[in-house]
Amino acid sequence: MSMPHKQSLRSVAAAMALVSAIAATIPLAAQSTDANAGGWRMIVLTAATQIPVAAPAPVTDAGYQAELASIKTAQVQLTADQQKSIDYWSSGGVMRWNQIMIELVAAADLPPEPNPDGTYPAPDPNNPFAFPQFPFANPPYASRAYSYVSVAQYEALKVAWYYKYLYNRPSPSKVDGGIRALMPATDLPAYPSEDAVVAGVTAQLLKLLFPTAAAQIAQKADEQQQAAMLSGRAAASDIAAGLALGQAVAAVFAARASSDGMKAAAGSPAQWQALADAAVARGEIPWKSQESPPRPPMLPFFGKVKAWMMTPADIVNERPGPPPSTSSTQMAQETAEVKRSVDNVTRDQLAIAYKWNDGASSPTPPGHWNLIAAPYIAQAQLSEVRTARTFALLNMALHDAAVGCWDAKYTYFNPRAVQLDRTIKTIIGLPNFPSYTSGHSTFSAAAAEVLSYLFPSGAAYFDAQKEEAAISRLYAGIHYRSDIEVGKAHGKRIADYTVRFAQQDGADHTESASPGITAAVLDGAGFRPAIAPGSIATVFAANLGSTSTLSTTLPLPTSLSGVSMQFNGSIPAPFFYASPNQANIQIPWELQGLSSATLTVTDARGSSSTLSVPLAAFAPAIFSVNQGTSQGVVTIANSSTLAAPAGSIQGVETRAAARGEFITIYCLGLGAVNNPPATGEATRDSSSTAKSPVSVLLNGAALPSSFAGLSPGFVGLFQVNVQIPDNAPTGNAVTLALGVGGATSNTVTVAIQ
Amino acid sequence: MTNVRCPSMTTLHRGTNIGSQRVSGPPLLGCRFCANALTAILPVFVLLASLVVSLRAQAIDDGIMVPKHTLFSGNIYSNDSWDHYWEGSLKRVNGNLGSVTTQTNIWSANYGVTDRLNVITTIPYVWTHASQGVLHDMQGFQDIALAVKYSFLDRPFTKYGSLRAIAVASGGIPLTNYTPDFQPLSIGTNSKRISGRSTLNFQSNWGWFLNGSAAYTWRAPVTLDRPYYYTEGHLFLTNEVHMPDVFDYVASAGYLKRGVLAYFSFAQQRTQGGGDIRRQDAPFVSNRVNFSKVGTTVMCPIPKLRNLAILFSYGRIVDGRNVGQSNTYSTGLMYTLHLHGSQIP
Repeated sequence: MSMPHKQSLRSVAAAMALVSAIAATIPLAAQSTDANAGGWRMIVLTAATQIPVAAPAPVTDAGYQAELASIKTAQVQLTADQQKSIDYWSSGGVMRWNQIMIELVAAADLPPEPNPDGTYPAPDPNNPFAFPQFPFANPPYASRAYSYVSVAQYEALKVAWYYKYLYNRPSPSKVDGGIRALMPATDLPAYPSEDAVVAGVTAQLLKLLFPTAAAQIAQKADEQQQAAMLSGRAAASDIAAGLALGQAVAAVFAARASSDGMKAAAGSPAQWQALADAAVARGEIPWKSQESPPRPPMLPFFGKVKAWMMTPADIVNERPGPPPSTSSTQMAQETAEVKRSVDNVTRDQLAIAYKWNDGASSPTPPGHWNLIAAPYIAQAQLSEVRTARTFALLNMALHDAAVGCWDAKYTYFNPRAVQLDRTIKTIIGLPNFPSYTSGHSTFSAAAAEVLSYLFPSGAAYFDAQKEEAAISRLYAGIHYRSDIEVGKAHGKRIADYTVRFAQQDGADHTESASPGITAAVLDGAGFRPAIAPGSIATVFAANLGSTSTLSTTLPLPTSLSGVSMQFNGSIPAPFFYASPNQANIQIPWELQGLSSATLTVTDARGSSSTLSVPLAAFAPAIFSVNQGTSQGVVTIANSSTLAAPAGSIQGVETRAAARGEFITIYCLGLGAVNNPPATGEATRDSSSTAKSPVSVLLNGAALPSSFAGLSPGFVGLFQVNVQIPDNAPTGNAVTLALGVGGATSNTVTVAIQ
Repeated sequence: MTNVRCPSMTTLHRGTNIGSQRVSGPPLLGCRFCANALTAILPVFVLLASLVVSLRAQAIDDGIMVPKHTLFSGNIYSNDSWDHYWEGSLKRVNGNLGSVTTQTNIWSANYGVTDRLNVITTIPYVWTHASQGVLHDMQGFQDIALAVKYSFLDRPFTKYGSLRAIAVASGGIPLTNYTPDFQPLSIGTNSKRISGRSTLNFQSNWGWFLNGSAAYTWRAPVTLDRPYYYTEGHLFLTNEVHMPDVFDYVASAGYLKRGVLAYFSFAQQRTQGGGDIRRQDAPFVSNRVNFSKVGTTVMCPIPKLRNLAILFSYGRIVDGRNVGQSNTYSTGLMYTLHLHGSQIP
């Protein structure tokens, strides 16, 4: 305990180069794990912390060790069926559930059979097994179902990612060498289990959407969790936390679904008549069902169902203008074109019409586009959370396209060509809703737009598919050309709402017009959202500038590469570093005592965006050598040597610390300090000590620190010195954490001999 | 999204394979003319029955062998229609179809390579039409069929008559790339197929006869124009559809003497797999199409027209699964041509 502070501080100069490099240029985690996804923008949830997930027991906990033991036992006794299940789920839970959902839609895509009296029964969600079974998964129903499940999965996984990197508990196969990794292993922390999150959120929602398949859905969810455990990817406690998280997110979405307007979408006979009357009042021939007996229109008020990326006003604003009047020459010409087209259809055109029929017993056009997207997603080998994002973006655009298209269809109530010219016959079934605009064209343009943004290399293919899907409806004899052309333009406009969101949600780093609405602010050491004033933070954003710049002067500048950031509108944030996608800043000391602050990002052109940033008095976080591994940036006192296994890090001197030696732990967020320096200024000496006592948890045992406070010569950086007790455990990966003010840091490892 | 749910009936096997009778020569027939006419008609009629709906070319389930170096050729028109159909086992009507009519015109030729070996081919042209709803008619050449028929047993049996046993190998290939994905208005299933058949026929000396024939048919997968389909409780992410095998048999009894033929038949088809038509859905190409069919046929030579005969036939499906309860009327003219100076014995 007698280690002089000064000596300790001075001796780490060389090690600080490493710390500086990490603090200043924290690299984006590998694309494969998307470590910053916990900070990507939410869609329905307000923040990851809306869904609380308790800290896991340490890996040394006896209960956890028992969980590991049971995995080992199970792996020894692995059955062929279990291995098959592991192989199946290895493709990714989000991908598998998308396939399952597509099949559920196709199974439920059957319209009710008429009653003997010529009326039609409605599927009853309270009696789903009776004919007609609930639901009739027609295109609007399907688009909504796909989107609910996809968006909920995506939100739940972002929450999961937040907690994964908050708690950093490795997967069982990383903790215990006796456990095999039977699925592709990544550095993704295991708690909470992403597989259980997906199983929990998906099963809950699918059971609501497709109640007759509840047993099959539950079985799949169980299998997925079992496979995660058997494969060494998650322990029982990882799975339990994930399942609870997923189910909690599902509850949020179920509540949204119960009040999104779907219940009123079918309308009543009086409302159907009112639609026809309104068309007559406009001087138009109203749409009439061509079925026998006439079938009520399909979900005439789906246009009022809540969209994801568009407000009700947006839906109205983007609504296309009216179709040609039913009494116009243009309509007569377009009707004649339909007849000419279908009566002279070539074999190739027929093939296109059938390819895009997407009629009864199909996944519907939205499902067809999910099938088109799937191989691109698989080939890109995205992380689970980014896979979910991709499906969520696609299906939000498809749902919003359904809302917008149905709004147009029932605003204009335009008859099909078959109705205006009885001699026209179709080569696929005639959809039972108004003609203008074409659903296929709207859906396909929306999907192609989103997929082209996400997979630019496939843009030409997506565009060709869109064009084919759209014109197929003319070949089939069910749509006028203007339905198709207007529908395509409408779909693209609708999808652009989703694309604009995607450009700014923190997950992509492509060029856009304005500096990325700030995606996430995370602490600079562990990428965790809790940040304490005075500490170093990482801001993920798009278009912060065109170059990467490192600050070289003190006090730190408050503008770098033309980008500046202000908290609460006026308090400038000093920069360590700025790149096009990321900036590292100091959270100003002036924000102490606040629970949140707004952050405004402004670029040289003056455009800006703001984000609310949660703050904490204490947010302890220890630097680790690499994201995803647990070796802490901890030096042996009076040296620049990292307390890591000898030779374990290329280019850095390392050795295990000996019992009795002092070590120095580099960290952030220890709270208020005595003699605080000004924001942006370095600490001059060792007098900026933490006001609250800091404990060092070595292998779970609390040790008093000999020094805890700001590191002299640096901005925002803390260090803690501690002596390794004589009875300390030894090993290459002894766990180490910090506790201060009731908060606990991430857990890192040090080598002790 | 289609709301029109076309009802059922694959074009598959609406017809039955009505048994026919062996015509064995002068002792049975009053005149050479009649013998020519009948021997020409019978095989073709059988062809019609099986190809009206075109799946297989089992011309072929009669007990007749065409004499060496004789060509029998002709044309038969058939009109098959139904308004009730079985959606799985549920019998119903469908206002979006009304009555579905399939007209078929078959040209056929049967050539006697030897007295024991015949080669038969048929070419059907098919029109489909629904009386209600918006679905478009379809028409076109369907599947060409080729059969090789061999009589391996032909001898007197008891003192009352004679017995003949025949084996037939046949195959069919679509002549055009018509769609199989517009049931029930597709003109066929667009599937290649091969069949093996055996027939046993007893002809009494007084004109009464009994005939039994059974076949097993293997069908090649069908390729759709779309990348997925749903059947049998699963979504298949492929355009290739497995087609189940088909077993059928026919039994018939009647009278044949002096060029006049009259008989009743009973036939059954059992598809060895495939799913039911889904509730209020269109039929699918690989559906399990089963039926029982009764029929009657009358035919005779046309007086004063050398080598020409006429036939009339009626058949009705009395029970079925994934099939229309159809009535089928057929009529045709057949002509006999002697090549290489050959003569009917």
